[in-house]
Amino acid sequence: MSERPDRSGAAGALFGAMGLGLVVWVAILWASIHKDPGIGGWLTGIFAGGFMGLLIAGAGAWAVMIFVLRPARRVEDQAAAIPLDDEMAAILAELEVARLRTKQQVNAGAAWRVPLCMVGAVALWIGGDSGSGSGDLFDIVPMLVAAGVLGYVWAGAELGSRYRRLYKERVLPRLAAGFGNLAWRPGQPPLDEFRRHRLFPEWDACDADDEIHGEYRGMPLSIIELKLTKGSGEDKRVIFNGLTCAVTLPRGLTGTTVVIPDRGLLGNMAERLRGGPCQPVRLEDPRFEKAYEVYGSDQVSARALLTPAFMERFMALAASGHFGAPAALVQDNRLLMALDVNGRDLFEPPSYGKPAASREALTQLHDDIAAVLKAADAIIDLDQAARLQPRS
Amino acid sequence: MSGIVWIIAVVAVVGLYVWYVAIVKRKNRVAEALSGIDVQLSQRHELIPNVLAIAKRYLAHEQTLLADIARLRTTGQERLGSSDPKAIAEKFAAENQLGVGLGRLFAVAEGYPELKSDALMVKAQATYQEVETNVAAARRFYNASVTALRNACQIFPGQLVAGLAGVGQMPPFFEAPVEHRGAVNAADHL
Repeated sequence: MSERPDRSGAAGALFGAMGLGLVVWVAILWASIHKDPGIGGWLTGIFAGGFMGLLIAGAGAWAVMIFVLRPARRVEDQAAAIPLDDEMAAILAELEVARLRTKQQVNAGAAWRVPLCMVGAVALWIGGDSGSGSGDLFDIVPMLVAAGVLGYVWAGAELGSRYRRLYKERVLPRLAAGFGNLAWRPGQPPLDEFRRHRLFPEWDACDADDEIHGEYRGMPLSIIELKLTKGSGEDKRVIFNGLTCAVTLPRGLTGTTVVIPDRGLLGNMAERLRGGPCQPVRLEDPRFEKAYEVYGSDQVSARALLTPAFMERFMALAASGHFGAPAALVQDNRLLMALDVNGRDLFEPPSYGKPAASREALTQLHDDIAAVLKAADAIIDLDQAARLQPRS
Repeated sequence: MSGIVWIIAVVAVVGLYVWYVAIVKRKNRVAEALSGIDVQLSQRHELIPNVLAIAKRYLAHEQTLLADIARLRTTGQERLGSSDPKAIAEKFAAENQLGVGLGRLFAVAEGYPELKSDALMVKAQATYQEVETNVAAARRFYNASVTALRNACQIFPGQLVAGLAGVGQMPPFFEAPVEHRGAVNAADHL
């Protein structure tokens, strides 16, 4: 049995924060009445004091969550089966050496970049001051702080990125292997296929760092974390941010079938006018028809996959709240589903500021792999359960 | 005045022609869907001799069922490729009986552990599942095509041009056997 983490300090800290908020409220109210004994002083004291008191109590609650409750949850999570064997220990030791070296290099780089940025800030301040003639000496303080931070970020950006890449390349394959015959590699999404079959609206930039691939539940599997964007600067918008999960099903499907969320009357019409080998597939389920557009090069094969049970489960997957409306691309027996997760980036390694053997970071990466495999489970079950149900 | 009459006449002729084209296209779609069904049904027929050969070794008491399946297969095979609506309806009825017979055979096999675990039977059952899924898919495509054709022919002015497009008697729907029907419940598997 796992030992329950000690959370007794959380309640005390929470009450402490609330008490402090109350004290601040009373103090401000007292000061306000002392300054202006009329109704104005009372009102100012009540509202301003109340605002400050709530702010302090809220900050206290947030601090309790971050510093007391979250570490406790982490302790529970550490019960997860992370393979911390000799091989992993050796990898982490090697990464720790790399991390310390990275840190030294960053510090060495910061030794001249930080002063340089500060000199630049001073030059800017002098230039601005001479122009207006009303420069404030206190302006230089935040400018110097910002310049110092900028110099440090400049020194660490590339080296930090290199270290994080190394961490991924060394740790993720080992963690993935703990889930079966799986491995990690840099993402290789079939972008040409996505574009040709218009699985997503037009995009012009792609970010696909990570791919978990191998064999899962007896089927070839590939899960890629994918982000597609269009435009740049303020006009940049996210077209897709989620996972593409491809499994090769033990089926006898042929041809290509594309299932995409409904794009409205004009969008659907434009899609049809573009032509190509895939023709619209009309399905019996009116709810599915309303929510999705289906195109297929083989009408029978498209329906062999999209049985009524499959459609029902496909919509249930979308309604589960874990993903946005999914899209699917089926080429022969390979079913690829695009699941919009709309959340944080997955598979993020720790920065060089944290120890390489950080349990928290390892647990997070482990949980990320478990989460994407849940998506794979959902897709495999989607097909298998659908085939067990009535076909007509 | 005569100009307006001419315009109305031209619009009517163009409208009728467009309708005629739609009916011809849908009629051809039904033919395509029907041939799709025949492809899947012939796959089913090809599977049956193997299944019967395996089953005969274990099901000595079920000779009547095996003979029925063999007979229904022969009847179904003879009717593949027929385009006459009446013959198509008979084909569908025979195939439904065959589907039910095969379903019964696999259900009976459940009671014979040796047959159930026979490697060839396991493989045959998996193939049967796949073939039946494809038959159901072909049936859905066909029924959707027939519905579209019926709508085009039965909604005015479809009746006026259906004959010209060569659509006489409407092709029948391919109803699923009662045993295969049932409500889909996604929640059972979520």
